[in-house]
Amino acid sequence: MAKIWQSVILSILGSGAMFAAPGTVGAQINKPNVAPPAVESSAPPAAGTAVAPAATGGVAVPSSSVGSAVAPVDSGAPVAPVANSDVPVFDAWVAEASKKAGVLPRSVVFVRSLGETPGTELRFLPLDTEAFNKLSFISAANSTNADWDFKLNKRKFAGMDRLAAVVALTGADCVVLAPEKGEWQVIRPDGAKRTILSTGQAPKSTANEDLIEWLFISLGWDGIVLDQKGNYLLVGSTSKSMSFPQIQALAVNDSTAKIVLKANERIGAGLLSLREAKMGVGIFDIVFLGQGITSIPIGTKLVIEKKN
Amino acid sequence: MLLILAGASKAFGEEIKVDHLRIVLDLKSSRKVPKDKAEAKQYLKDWKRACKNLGSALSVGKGPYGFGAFGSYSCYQGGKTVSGPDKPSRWSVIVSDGLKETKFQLVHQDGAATSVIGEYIAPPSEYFLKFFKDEEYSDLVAYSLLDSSPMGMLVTKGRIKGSPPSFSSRYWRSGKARKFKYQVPEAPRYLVLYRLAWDEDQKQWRSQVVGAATRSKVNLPKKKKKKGKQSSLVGGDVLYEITPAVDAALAAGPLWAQSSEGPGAHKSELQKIISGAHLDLDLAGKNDALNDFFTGGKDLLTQLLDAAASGYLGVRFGKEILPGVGGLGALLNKTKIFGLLFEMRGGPLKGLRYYYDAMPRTKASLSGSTGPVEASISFSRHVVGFSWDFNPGFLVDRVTIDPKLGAWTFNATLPIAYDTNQNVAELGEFNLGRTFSLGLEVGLEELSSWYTVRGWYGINTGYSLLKSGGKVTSNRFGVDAYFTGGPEIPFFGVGLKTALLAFYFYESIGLTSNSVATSGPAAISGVSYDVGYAGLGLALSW
Repeated sequence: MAKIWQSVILSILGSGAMFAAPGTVGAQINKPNVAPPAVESSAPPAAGTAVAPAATGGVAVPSSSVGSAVAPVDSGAPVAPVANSDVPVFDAWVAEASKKAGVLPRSVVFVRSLGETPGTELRFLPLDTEAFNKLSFISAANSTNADWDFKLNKRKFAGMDRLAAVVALTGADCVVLAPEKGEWQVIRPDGAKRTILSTGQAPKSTANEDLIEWLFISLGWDGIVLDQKGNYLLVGSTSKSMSFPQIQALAVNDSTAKIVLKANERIGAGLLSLREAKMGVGIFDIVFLGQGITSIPIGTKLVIEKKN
Repeated sequence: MLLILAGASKAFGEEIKVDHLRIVLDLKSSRKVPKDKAEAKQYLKDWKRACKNLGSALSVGKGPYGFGAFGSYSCYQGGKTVSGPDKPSRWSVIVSDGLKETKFQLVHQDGAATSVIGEYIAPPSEYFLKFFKDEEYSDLVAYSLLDSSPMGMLVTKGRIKGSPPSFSSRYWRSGKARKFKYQVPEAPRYLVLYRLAWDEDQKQWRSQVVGAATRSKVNLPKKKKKKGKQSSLVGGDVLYEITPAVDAALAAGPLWAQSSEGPGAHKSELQKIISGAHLDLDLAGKNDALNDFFTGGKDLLTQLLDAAASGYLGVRFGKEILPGVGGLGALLNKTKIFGLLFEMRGGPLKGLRYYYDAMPRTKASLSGSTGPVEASISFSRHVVGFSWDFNPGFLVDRVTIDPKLGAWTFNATLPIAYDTNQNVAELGEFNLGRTFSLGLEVGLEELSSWYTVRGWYGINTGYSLLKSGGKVTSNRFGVDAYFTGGPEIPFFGVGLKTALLAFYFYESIGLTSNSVATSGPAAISGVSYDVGYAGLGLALSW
């Protein structure tokens, strides 16, 4: 499977690709001396490949038709692990990784209005949080609790910056300003500062699936490394992406500090393959690493193979 | 997602903790506790009762509409426990019975940091602690504080009945009255039910909302006559229907509930009602009609009108009693005065005073140097004053300061010179006509339920408006006593109480006339004399 995708990538990237020759994958894992794949937004999609969302600049990844040997499984069903005694225990690793820093964002809150203009109030987008949280590794703040907490703590938040209040209320590290009309924004709150990470058209609906899809398109990546142990990476993504056994992903070089990736920032650092998954979290094998790359640090963003 | 997988959900499942409440009468911001032992004892008694009634209405399930958030309470006067167990709590109600304002604060304590969660300020009243005798007032204060609290009421599984699942709560109480005396706030239409925790790191409340309740029915209380007592409003309840999610969650433990508009959403409305209630109650207190007010014995409007019009109307008669010397003394000894007095002691015109004193023309035939001469004296005066008073907190109950404006008419023919045989050598005409007078009076009052004793000192100066007139000055002091408790006379539906007056005053008058003989270097232009009048009177009070 890895060989198939690797050959496809090579065929897409043509002479610009810096992968090692096919058939050397197994050897590359412990010999990370191959050059990273240059994932260029200008590369034309080959026939039979899916084009990544336009907003991300069109990074080409193999489609399900290419990897026809990979049988899609029902969404939410656990992906069966390949037997290997040195693979970390899934649940224990997830618990361990949840305490580690360096992963952004981990939690998001959708706000209808910050209530910063006269006559408006702070309003959260009503959300079925429980259902939303099953769809990806990113958890959403409970809008009902946040709304009520704002009323309970009105005195505290009376003179406070509204974005800071939203963060204090929800603990979210990413705020989506989602007005009923107009464009939506992904905002990174940082103390008194606020950075607008991306602005774009609202999703087609506020159904959880559409919100998740919109969020990951806005972020410009499909997954994030939560932790690394040897040749294994714990990755946070969407339940949908994690539902395909052995799906492959590209780790993007030098992406740990970036919350949003632009198309021209996607330089490959290594090739990964899904080993085991539960909902939006999976363990990936490192298939091979790019030249000069020795590890995939926590917070590294991934572009994952698209399948339907 | 990660948290779900890791099973690291926040510990909200803990049992809801119902706190103890400390209710403190703050002595620093309150009026001084009376020094008199009996009065201090009464003050303490009033506070204990006030605290008990307030504490009860703040307790779980015992407030209006099912509100109530505290499991127990204790009462403090300053730092001293006066009732209940002395135990620490993060919740306090601080009550200030101040001279300038009355204040209620719901305070939350987090370590050394305190934060005022709810605050209501009302006009001051020396009868404030007695207001809590009224259940309606206690409900009003308790509800206001609970409305501002993050915990309004506690809903338990045991309260849920019927299908659809509902719970009921008692209606607002009217106390002993047959109708509500103040505006009754509406029971919340919707309640939010939730678990609640205090986040010590973030210094904020964190909730876990479980669902909602909708007000489905309101049964108003009904008038009921109790044997030997006036009718009053009894019963009444409010029914709330809960969602299935709430019903299911209640199986795991009780939940807090609060109006869906959030804590403090009705503050301005409640503040207005409390302030209005204080004005009405204070007025009733000043007219010694608090108990009548509580029972609603009279229509509220009538009571207010009664209170607004309360005052005295009296007549009095006095006779000069100081021994006189010489011809002038002989004349003055024969004088009498009649008076009319009108004092507003309550209502919006409280402090207004009007006095009319008249001395009928009195003549005396005196032996003159050349034969009998006739001296005479008469005057009348209208005085309008306004009295401001305050309680000095010692010696007397009230100090009054009364600036006065008046009009005197003074006509007299008085001996102004005597010969060596003490016969009148010369008479002076003091026809001052109408004089315009200014005055100031200071009084000290001792009050009881059946008498008022008042000592006073006043000065007056009147200037004649006539060219031939002059000036009249008066320095006087006296004692007035009012004895109430006489028979009550019905008058157009209003009961007029009778009171007996007794008075004595000493007055030193100086007269200067522009028309008195001015011949010679030692021209005499005035005369002065001292008089003392004692008398009785009758007053009607309402």
